[in-house]
Amino acid sequence: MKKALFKPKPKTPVELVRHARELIIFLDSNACTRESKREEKLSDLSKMILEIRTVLYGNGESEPNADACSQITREFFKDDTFRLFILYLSNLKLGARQDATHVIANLQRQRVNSQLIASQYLEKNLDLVDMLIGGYEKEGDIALTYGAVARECIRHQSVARHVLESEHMKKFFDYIQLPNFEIASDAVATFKELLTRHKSTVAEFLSKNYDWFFKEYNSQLLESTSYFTRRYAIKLLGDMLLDRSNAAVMVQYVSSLDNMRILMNLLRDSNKTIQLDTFHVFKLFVANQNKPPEVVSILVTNKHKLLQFLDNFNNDKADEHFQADKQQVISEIITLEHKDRPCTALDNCEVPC
Amino acid sequence: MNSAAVAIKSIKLNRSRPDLDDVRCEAKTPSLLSYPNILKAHCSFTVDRCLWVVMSFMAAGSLQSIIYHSHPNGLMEPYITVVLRDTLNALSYLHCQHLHRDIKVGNILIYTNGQVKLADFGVSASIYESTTTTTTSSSSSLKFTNVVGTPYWMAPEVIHSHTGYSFEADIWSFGITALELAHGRPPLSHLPPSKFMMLKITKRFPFSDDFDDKENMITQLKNAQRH
Repeated sequence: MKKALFKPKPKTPVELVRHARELIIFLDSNACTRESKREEKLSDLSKMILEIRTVLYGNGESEPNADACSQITREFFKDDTFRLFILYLSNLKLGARQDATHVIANLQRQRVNSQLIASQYLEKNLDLVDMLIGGYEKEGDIALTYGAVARECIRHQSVARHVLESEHMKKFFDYIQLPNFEIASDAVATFKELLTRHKSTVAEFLSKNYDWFFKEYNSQLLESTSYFTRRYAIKLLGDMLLDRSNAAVMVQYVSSLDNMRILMNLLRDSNKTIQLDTFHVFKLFVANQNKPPEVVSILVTNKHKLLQFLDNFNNDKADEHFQADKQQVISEIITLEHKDRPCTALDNCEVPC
Repeated sequence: MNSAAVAIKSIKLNRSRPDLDDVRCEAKTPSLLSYPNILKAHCSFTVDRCLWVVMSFMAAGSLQSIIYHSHPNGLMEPYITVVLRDTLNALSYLHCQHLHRDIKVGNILIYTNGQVKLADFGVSASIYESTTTTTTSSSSSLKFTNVVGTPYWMAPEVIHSHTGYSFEADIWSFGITALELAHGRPPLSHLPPSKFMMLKITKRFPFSDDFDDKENMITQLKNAQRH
């Protein structure tokens, strides 16, 4: 075979995106093309994606060129190439799919004329976000790809709000408990991102959806038979309730007797990490200055057992904050008295510790 | 349905690790990598308080066990060349997306046909996930700062982690692995890890000339890389 005398001129950033777009359109609309031709085009597409990634991230020796990045970003969002890219992800081979994921992730952060144009684009194309979140229902590693892309998209507040207000939130309780650990734990990562990244949006969501959300959270996650689910759930609950933006939700949560029963049971978990994360939520129930009488009643009834438990309860690491918190909880429990009347045997309010 | 022998790695989570994100990484990373010299995970699921990661069964075991039982003073150079070539190929692929951060003979597995596979992504890090990096904008300025790995194989900049480290840390560990293959153990392994790490921080120490014919070995490696 004759070698070309001159190397082909390297493609400009805009040409790279256009060529990738043309290849996707060709591959998508010519399903009946012979296999060797398809493979060749797919290989070309993989190379294009890799080149785009190199422009956006640099090549390991030089920093990315800001102007080239802007050109690529503009071109991606100009003619719906971004949509084509996301829709074609599942047809790419694993390596190219990883590269494409990194390209999509980078585009979320690129500013053109100081504006995040990815955010504006996604606001008008929220069906793409729905498709990505729905990826957890798919088999295999495409679910992980979609999950990674979805997490990048919900960096934008408007996108996160859309997901929080959609029916997807109810489905997350199922996704988190999928038997495939990679997919379940990826769903947890997305769930956590949705419930912690955009403070004001999360606070609004939790206030509006308090009843159904915490009913599901308690029964499906905190009381799950799966050690993993409980461990993820108690940690995330602490992150949510200890966030100042969620102060109103926290007060509501720690005023519930049912919630406190669940937490007191988790304090007895045989796993130290779960106990520790539970303690950081339990202390909020004790510190609440407006404890309802039934909460006080349970704490008083279990006073001796709680003090005994806390006396032996230690963090493995030397942690001054933990010790201070523990002392405060102990002091608070010691001073507790029944607000109205003591528990009678009929109340059955003792929680075994 | 095909029947194939698999290996199951059981990770006890209530004892071994405080952070479930590490575990997620260990399960997820090998399932998203597809390369002949990297051990792929088929799937993973939880059993009680353990995570079971299902992988291809590498019948010949790890190079560490092979060296320990059959070659306590190290392998012959032709074998070392093949192992290093395949490990470098795996690293070359891996470094497009990840740092391995724990290269050593214990993490190099051998199949019955002699195929070499790099394994154990428990402490690996994605270079694109913003949670793990201090810089996300470019791969040239990428730095990690958390101290992970196994002491005898750790690069000095990993121990001095406040200055940050990158891909070169894997190359250092790869070099130590080469010496381990030649000697049957890593340099200074007679010292306890804490003393070894102090020595690495405070002093320079020489490595002996271990390979009889370095020039020839490098040539072999280069040729092997091409084919």
